[in-house]
Amino acid sequence: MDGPSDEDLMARISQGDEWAFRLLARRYLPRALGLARRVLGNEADAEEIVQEALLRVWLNATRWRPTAAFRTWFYRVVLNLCLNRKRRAPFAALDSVEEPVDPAADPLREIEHRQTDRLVAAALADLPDRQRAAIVLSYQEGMSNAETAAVLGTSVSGVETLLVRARRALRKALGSVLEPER
Amino acid sequence: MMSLTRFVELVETHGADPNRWPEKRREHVQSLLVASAEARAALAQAEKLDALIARHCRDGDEEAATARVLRRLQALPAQRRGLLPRLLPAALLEFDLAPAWPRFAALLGVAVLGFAVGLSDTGMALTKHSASAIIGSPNSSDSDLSLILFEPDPLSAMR
Repeated sequence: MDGPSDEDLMARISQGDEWAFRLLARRYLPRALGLARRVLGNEADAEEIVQEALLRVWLNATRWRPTAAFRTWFYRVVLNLCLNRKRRAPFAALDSVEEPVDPAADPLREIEHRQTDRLVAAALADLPDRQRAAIVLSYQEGMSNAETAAVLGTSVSGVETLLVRARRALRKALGSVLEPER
Repeated sequence: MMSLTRFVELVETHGADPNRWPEKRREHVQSLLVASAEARAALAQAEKLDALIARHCRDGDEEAATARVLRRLQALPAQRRGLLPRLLPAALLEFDLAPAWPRFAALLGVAVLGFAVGLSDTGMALTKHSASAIIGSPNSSDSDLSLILFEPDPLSAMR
Protein backbone atom coordinates (compact mmCIF):
# COMPACT_ATOMS: atom_id res chain seq x y z
CA MET A 1 0.00 0.00 0.00
CA ASP A 2 1.44 3.30 -1.05
CA GLY A 3 1.00 6.45 0.96
CA PRO A 4 0.22 6.91 4.64
CA SER A 5 -1.14 3.97 6.62
CA ASP A 6 -4.79 3.70 7.59
CA GLU A 7 -3.88 4.41 11.21
CA ASP A 8 -1.94 7.56 10.26
CA LEU A 9 -4.89 8.76 8.21
CA MET A 10 -7.33 8.09 11.06
CA ALA A 11 -5.12 10.08 13.42
CA ARG A 12 -5.30 13.01 11.00
CA ILE A 13 -9.02 12.56 10.42
CA SER A 14 -9.57 12.77 14.18
CA GLN A 15 -8.03 16.24 13.96
CA GLY A 16 -10.57 17.24 11.32
CA ASP A 17 -8.36 16.66 8.28
CA GLU A 18 -10.84 16.36 5.39
CA TRP A 19 -8.16 15.60 2.82
CA ALA A 20 -7.02 12.57 4.87
CA PHE A 21 -10.65 11.45 5.07
CA ARG A 22 -11.10 11.58 1.30
CA LEU A 23 -7.86 9.67 0.78
CA LEU A 24 -9.04 6.92 3.13
CA ALA A 25 -12.49 6.91 1.56
CA ARG A 26 -11.05 6.49 -1.95
CA ARG A 27 -8.88 3.66 -0.71
CA TYR A 28 -11.83 1.63 0.61
CA LEU A 29 -14.83 2.77 -1.42
CA PRO A 30 -14.62 0.43 -4.42
CA ARG A 31 -14.22 -2.75 -2.40
CA ALA A 32 -16.72 -1.69 0.26
CA LEU A 33 -19.23 -1.00 -2.51
CA GLY A 34 -18.55 -4.45 -3.98
CA LEU A 35 -19.01 -6.09 -0.58
CA ALA A 36 -22.24 -4.24 0.17
CA ARG A 37 -23.60 -4.85 -3.31
CA ARG A 38 -23.02 -8.60 -3.08
CA VAL A 39 -24.48 -8.88 0.40
CA LEU A 40 -27.50 -6.68 -0.32
CA GLY A 41 -28.08 -7.51 -3.97
CA ASN A 42 -29.00 -3.88 -4.57
CA GLU A 43 -26.73 -1.16 -6.00
CA ALA A 44 -28.62 1.84 -4.65
CA ASP A 45 -28.73 0.42 -1.13
CA ALA A 46 -25.06 -0.50 -1.34
CA GLU A 47 -24.14 3.13 -2.08
CA GLU A 48 -26.27 4.39 0.80
CA ILE A 49 -24.78 1.89 3.22
CA VAL A 50 -21.17 2.67 2.31
CA GLN A 51 -21.87 6.40 2.46
CA GLU A 52 -23.37 5.94 5.93
CA ALA A 53 -20.39 3.85 7.06
CA LEU A 54 -17.92 6.50 5.86
CA LEU A 55 -19.92 9.23 7.55
CA ARG A 56 -19.64 7.30 10.81
CA VAL A 57 -15.89 7.07 10.31
CA TRP A 58 -15.73 10.86 9.95
CA LEU A 59 -18.10 11.70 12.81
CA ASN A 60 -16.56 9.30 15.32
CA ALA A 61 -12.88 9.56 14.34
CA THR A 62 -11.99 11.16 17.69
CA ARG A 63 -13.22 8.04 19.51
CA TRP A 64 -11.57 5.43 17.33
CA ARG A 65 -8.73 3.45 18.90
CA PRO A 66 -6.40 1.24 16.82
CA THR A 67 -7.21 -1.91 18.79
CA ALA A 68 -8.04 -3.67 15.51
CA ALA A 69 -6.97 -3.03 11.91
CA PHE A 70 -9.00 -0.25 10.32
CA ARG A 71 -10.01 -2.56 7.44
CA THR A 72 -11.49 -5.11 9.86
CA TRP A 73 -13.35 -2.43 11.80
CA PHE A 74 -14.64 -0.64 8.71
CA TYR A 75 -15.90 -3.79 6.98
CA ARG A 76 -17.59 -4.76 10.22
CA VAL A 77 -19.47 -1.46 10.22
CA VAL A 78 -20.43 -1.92 6.55
CA LEU A 79 -21.55 -5.51 7.11
CA ASN A 80 -23.61 -4.68 10.20
CA LEU A 81 -25.36 -1.90 8.31
CA CYS A 82 -26.02 -4.33 5.45
CA LEU A 83 -27.41 -7.03 7.73
CA ASN A 84 -29.64 -4.49 9.50
CA ARG A 85 -30.94 -3.28 6.16
CA LYS A 86 -31.55 -6.86 5.03
CA ARG A 87 -33.75 -7.48 8.04
CA ARG A 88 -36.03 -4.75 6.80
CA ALA A 89 -36.03 -5.53 3.07
CA PRO A 90 -35.99 -8.82 1.15
CA PHE A 91 -33.02 -9.72 -1.02
CA ALA A 92 -33.39 -9.36 -4.76
CA ALA A 93 -30.69 -11.15 -6.72
CA LEU A 94 -28.60 -8.70 -8.67
CA ASP A 95 -27.73 -9.54 -12.23
CA SER A 96 -24.07 -10.41 -12.28
CA VAL A 97 -21.74 -7.70 -13.48
CA GLU A 98 -21.75 -7.85 -17.24
CA GLU A 99 -18.35 -7.61 -18.81
CA PRO A 100 -17.99 -5.82 -22.09
CA VAL A 101 -18.18 -8.33 -24.94
CA ASP A 102 -14.78 -9.30 -26.23
CA PRO A 103 -15.12 -9.32 -30.04
CA ALA A 104 -12.36 -11.90 -30.35
CA ALA A 105 -14.02 -14.35 -27.94
CA ASP A 106 -16.04 -17.33 -29.02
CA PRO A 107 -19.68 -16.11 -28.83
CA LEU A 108 -21.02 -19.47 -27.67
CA ARG A 109 -18.47 -19.53 -24.88
CA GLU A 110 -19.49 -16.01 -23.89
CA ILE A 111 -23.15 -17.02 -23.69
CA GLU A 112 -22.19 -20.02 -21.58
CA HIS A 113 -20.15 -17.82 -19.23
CA ARG A 114 -23.00 -15.38 -18.78
CA GLN A 115 -25.46 -18.19 -18.06
CA THR A 116 -23.07 -19.63 -15.50
CA ASP A 117 -22.59 -16.20 -13.92
CA ARG A 118 -26.35 -15.88 -13.51
CA LEU A 119 -26.57 -19.32 -11.91
CA VAL A 120 -23.79 -18.43 -9.46
CA ALA A 121 -25.47 -15.10 -8.63
CA ALA A 122 -28.77 -16.88 -7.96
CA ALA A 123 -27.09 -19.56 -5.83
CA LEU A 124 -25.33 -16.90 -3.73
CA ALA A 125 -28.59 -14.98 -3.40
CA ASP A 126 -30.23 -18.08 -1.91
CA LEU A 127 -27.65 -18.34 0.87
CA PRO A 128 -28.49 -17.02 4.35
CA ASP A 129 -27.03 -13.52 4.86
CA ARG A 130 -24.14 -14.47 7.12
CA GLN A 131 -23.07 -17.37 4.90
CA ARG A 132 -23.09 -15.07 1.91
CA ALA A 133 -21.13 -12.45 3.84
CA ALA A 134 -18.52 -15.05 4.85
CA ILE A 135 -18.14 -16.17 1.23
CA VAL A 136 -17.79 -12.61 -0.09
CA LEU A 137 -15.22 -11.63 2.56
CA SER A 138 -13.26 -14.79 1.85
CA TYR A 139 -13.29 -14.60 -1.96
CA GLN A 140 -13.55 -10.89 -2.71
CA GLU A 141 -11.24 -9.64 0.04
CA GLY A 142 -9.07 -12.76 0.32
CA MET A 143 -9.53 -12.61 4.09
CA SER A 144 -8.34 -15.48 6.23
CA ASN A 145 -10.91 -17.27 8.38
CA ALA A 146 -9.54 -15.40 11.41
CA GLU A 147 -9.98 -11.99 9.76
CA THR A 148 -13.44 -12.93 8.54
CA ALA A 149 -14.33 -13.95 12.11
CA ALA A 150 -13.22 -10.53 13.38
CA VAL A 151 -15.39 -8.74 10.82
CA LEU A 152 -18.42 -10.94 11.48
CA GLY A 153 -17.96 -10.72 15.24
CA THR A 154 -17.79 -14.46 15.69
CA SER A 155 -15.21 -17.18 16.36
CA VAL A 156 -12.99 -18.85 13.78
CA SER A 157 -14.93 -22.09 14.18
CA GLY A 158 -18.12 -20.08 13.65
CA VAL A 159 -16.77 -18.79 10.34
CA GLU A 160 -15.63 -22.26 9.33
CA THR A 161 -19.14 -23.56 9.95
CA LEU A 162 -20.60 -20.76 7.83
CA LEU A 163 -18.18 -21.50 4.98
CA VAL A 164 -18.77 -25.27 5.09
CA ARG A 165 -22.52 -24.78 4.91
CA ALA A 166 -22.22 -22.17 2.19
CA ARG A 167 -19.91 -24.32 0.04
CA ARG A 168 -22.17 -27.35 0.43
CA ALA A 169 -25.23 -25.32 -0.57
CA LEU A 170 -23.41 -23.81 -3.56
CA ARG A 171 -22.11 -27.19 -4.66
CA LYS A 172 -25.66 -28.55 -4.54
CA ALA A 173 -27.10 -25.57 -6.43
CA LEU A 174 -24.37 -25.57 -9.09
CA GLY A 175 -24.15 -29.35 -9.47
CA SER A 176 -24.51 -29.47 -13.24
CA VAL A 177 -21.95 -26.71 -13.75
CA LEU A 178 -19.41 -28.44 -11.50
CA GLU A 179 -19.60 -31.79 -13.22
CA PRO A 180 -16.38 -32.75 -14.98
CA GLU A 181 -16.36 -31.93 -18.67
CA ARG A 182 -16.52 -34.97 -20.95
CA MET B 1 -2.22 -40.46 5.45
CA MET B 2 -5.30 -38.28 5.75
CA SER B 3 -8.66 -40.01 5.21
CA LEU B 4 -10.91 -39.00 2.32
CA THR B 5 -13.55 -37.77 4.76
CA ARG B 6 -11.07 -35.48 6.52
CA PHE B 7 -9.82 -34.22 3.17
CA VAL B 8 -13.34 -33.34 1.97
CA GLU B 9 -13.88 -31.55 5.30
CA LEU B 10 -10.61 -29.66 4.76
CA VAL B 11 -11.59 -28.33 1.31
CA GLU B 12 -15.12 -27.54 2.49
CA THR B 13 -13.70 -25.46 5.33
CA HIS B 14 -10.79 -23.75 3.59
CA GLY B 15 -11.41 -24.08 -0.15
CA ALA B 16 -9.18 -25.67 -2.77
CA ASP B 17 -6.18 -23.35 -2.40
CA PRO B 18 -3.49 -25.22 -0.42
CA ASN B 19 -2.12 -21.86 0.78
CA ARG B 20 -5.26 -21.44 2.84
CA TRP B 21 -5.00 -24.86 4.49
CA PRO B 22 -3.52 -25.12 7.98
CA GLU B 23 0.16 -25.97 7.50
CA LYS B 24 0.09 -29.15 9.57
CA ARG B 25 -2.73 -30.61 7.52
CA ARG B 26 -1.19 -29.61 4.22
CA GLU B 27 1.64 -32.08 4.74
CA HIS B 28 -0.73 -35.04 4.97
CA VAL B 29 -2.65 -34.36 1.79
CA GLN B 30 -0.02 -35.15 -0.83
CA SER B 31 0.08 -38.91 -0.28
CA LEU B 32 -3.73 -39.07 -0.29
CA LEU B 33 -3.94 -37.26 -3.62
CA VAL B 34 -1.43 -39.66 -5.13
CA ALA B 35 -3.31 -42.72 -3.86
CA SER B 36 -6.96 -41.73 -4.24
CA ALA B 37 -8.84 -40.85 -7.44
CA GLU B 38 -11.82 -39.77 -5.31
CA ALA B 39 -9.67 -37.25 -3.45
CA ARG B 40 -8.38 -35.87 -6.76
CA ALA B 41 -11.98 -35.58 -8.04
CA ALA B 42 -13.06 -33.80 -4.84
CA LEU B 43 -10.16 -31.35 -5.20
CA ALA B 44 -10.98 -30.70 -8.87
CA GLN B 45 -14.59 -29.96 -8.00
CA ALA B 46 -13.54 -27.64 -5.15
CA GLU B 47 -11.20 -25.80 -7.53
CA LYS B 48 -14.04 -25.33 -10.01
CA LEU B 49 -16.32 -23.99 -7.28
CA ASP B 50 -13.63 -21.60 -6.07
CA ALA B 51 -13.14 -20.33 -9.62
CA LEU B 52 -16.87 -19.73 -10.10
CA ILE B 53 -17.21 -17.83 -6.83
CA ALA B 54 -14.01 -15.84 -7.41
CA ARG B 55 -15.24 -14.87 -10.89
CA HIS B 56 -18.51 -13.64 -9.39
CA CYS B 57 -16.65 -11.71 -6.69
CA ARG B 58 -14.11 -10.14 -9.02
CA ASP B 59 -13.67 -6.41 -8.86
CA GLY B 60 -16.43 -4.78 -10.79
CA ASP B 61 -16.47 -1.31 -12.22
CA GLU B 62 -17.19 0.72 -9.12
CA GLU B 63 -15.74 3.94 -10.52
CA ALA B 64 -19.08 5.63 -11.16
CA ALA B 65 -20.53 4.58 -7.80
CA THR B 66 -17.32 5.69 -6.03
CA ALA B 67 -17.58 9.12 -7.66
CA ARG B 68 -21.24 9.45 -6.64
CA VAL B 69 -20.57 8.61 -3.00
CA LEU B 70 -17.58 10.97 -2.83
CA ARG B 71 -19.71 13.79 -4.27
CA ARG B 72 -22.36 13.21 -1.61
CA LEU B 73 -19.66 13.33 1.07
CA GLN B 74 -18.29 16.68 -0.07
CA ALA B 75 -20.03 18.68 2.64
CA LEU B 76 -19.03 16.94 5.86
CA PRO B 77 -20.84 17.66 9.14
CA ALA B 78 -18.99 18.71 12.30
CA GLN B 79 -17.21 15.84 14.03
CA ARG B 80 -18.38 14.71 17.44
CA ARG B 81 -16.05 16.19 20.00
CA GLY B 82 -17.11 15.62 23.60
CA LEU B 83 -16.08 17.56 26.67
CA LEU B 84 -13.58 14.90 27.74
CA PRO B 85 -11.14 15.40 24.86
CA ARG B 86 -11.02 19.12 25.62
CA LEU B 87 -10.39 18.67 29.36
CA LEU B 88 -7.82 15.89 29.27
CA PRO B 89 -4.32 16.22 27.88
CA ALA B 90 -3.64 14.39 24.64
CA ALA B 91 -1.42 11.77 26.32
CA LEU B 92 -4.27 10.54 28.49
CA LEU B 93 -6.48 10.24 25.44
CA GLU B 94 -4.11 7.65 24.05
CA PHE B 95 -5.74 5.27 26.49
CA ASP B 96 -9.22 4.10 25.78
CA LEU B 97 -11.02 6.50 28.11
CA ALA B 98 -13.93 7.11 25.85
CA PRO B 99 -16.84 6.97 28.28
CA ALA B 100 -19.69 4.73 27.30
CA TRP B 101 -22.12 7.29 28.62
CA PRO B 102 -25.34 5.43 27.95
CA ARG B 103 -24.14 2.52 30.09
CA PHE B 104 -22.97 4.81 32.89
CA ALA B 105 -26.29 6.63 32.78
CA ALA B 106 -28.17 3.35 33.04
CA LEU B 107 -25.99 2.21 35.96
CA LEU B 108 -26.54 5.48 37.75
CA GLY B 109 -30.25 5.24 37.17
CA VAL B 110 -30.39 1.76 38.63
CA ALA B 111 -28.35 2.87 41.65
CA VAL B 112 -30.69 5.81 42.30
CA LEU B 113 -33.70 3.51 41.97
CA GLY B 114 -32.15 1.08 44.42
CA PHE B 115 -31.60 3.85 46.95
CA ALA B 116 -35.15 5.09 46.48
CA VAL B 117 -36.65 1.65 47.00
CA GLY B 118 -34.44 0.98 49.99
CA LEU B 119 -35.32 4.22 51.70
CA SER B 120 -39.02 4.06 51.07
CA ASP B 121 -41.67 2.24 53.07
CA THR B 122 -42.70 0.20 50.09
CA GLY B 123 -39.51 -1.87 50.31
CA MET B 124 -39.12 -5.50 51.10
CA ALA B 125 -40.24 -5.30 54.76
CA LEU B 126 -43.31 -7.43 55.51
CA THR B 127 -45.50 -7.48 58.52
CA LYS B 128 -45.82 -10.70 60.48
CA HIS B 129 -49.37 -11.02 59.18
CA SER B 130 -48.51 -10.86 55.52
CA ALA B 131 -45.59 -13.26 55.92
CA SER B 132 -47.77 -15.92 57.52
CA ALA B 133 -50.46 -15.38 54.88
CA ILE B 134 -47.92 -16.24 52.22
CA ILE B 135 -46.62 -19.38 53.89
CA GLY B 136 -50.04 -20.44 55.17
CA SER B 137 -48.78 -21.51 58.56
CA PRO B 138 -50.14 -19.29 61.30
CA ASN B 139 -48.52 -21.26 64.10
CA SER B 140 -45.07 -21.40 62.69
CA SER B 141 -42.28 -19.19 63.73
CA ASP B 142 -43.35 -16.39 61.47
CA SER B 143 -41.09 -13.86 63.01
CA ASP B 144 -38.11 -16.24 62.44
CA LEU B 145 -39.18 -16.80 58.84
CA SER B 146 -39.55 -13.12 58.14
CA LEU B 147 -36.10 -12.59 59.58
CA ILE B 148 -34.73 -15.24 57.27
CA LEU B 149 -36.56 -14.11 54.17
CA PHE B 150 -36.68 -10.38 54.54
CA GLU B 151 -34.91 -7.54 56.24
CA PRO B 152 -37.33 -7.03 59.13
CA ASP B 153 -38.99 -3.71 59.42
CA PRO B 154 -38.26 -2.73 63.06
CA LEU B 155 -41.78 -1.42 63.58
CA SER B 156 -43.66 -4.35 62.01
CA ALA B 157 -41.62 -6.95 63.91
CA MET B 158 -42.95 -5.47 67.13
CA ARG B 159 -46.61 -5.84 66.14
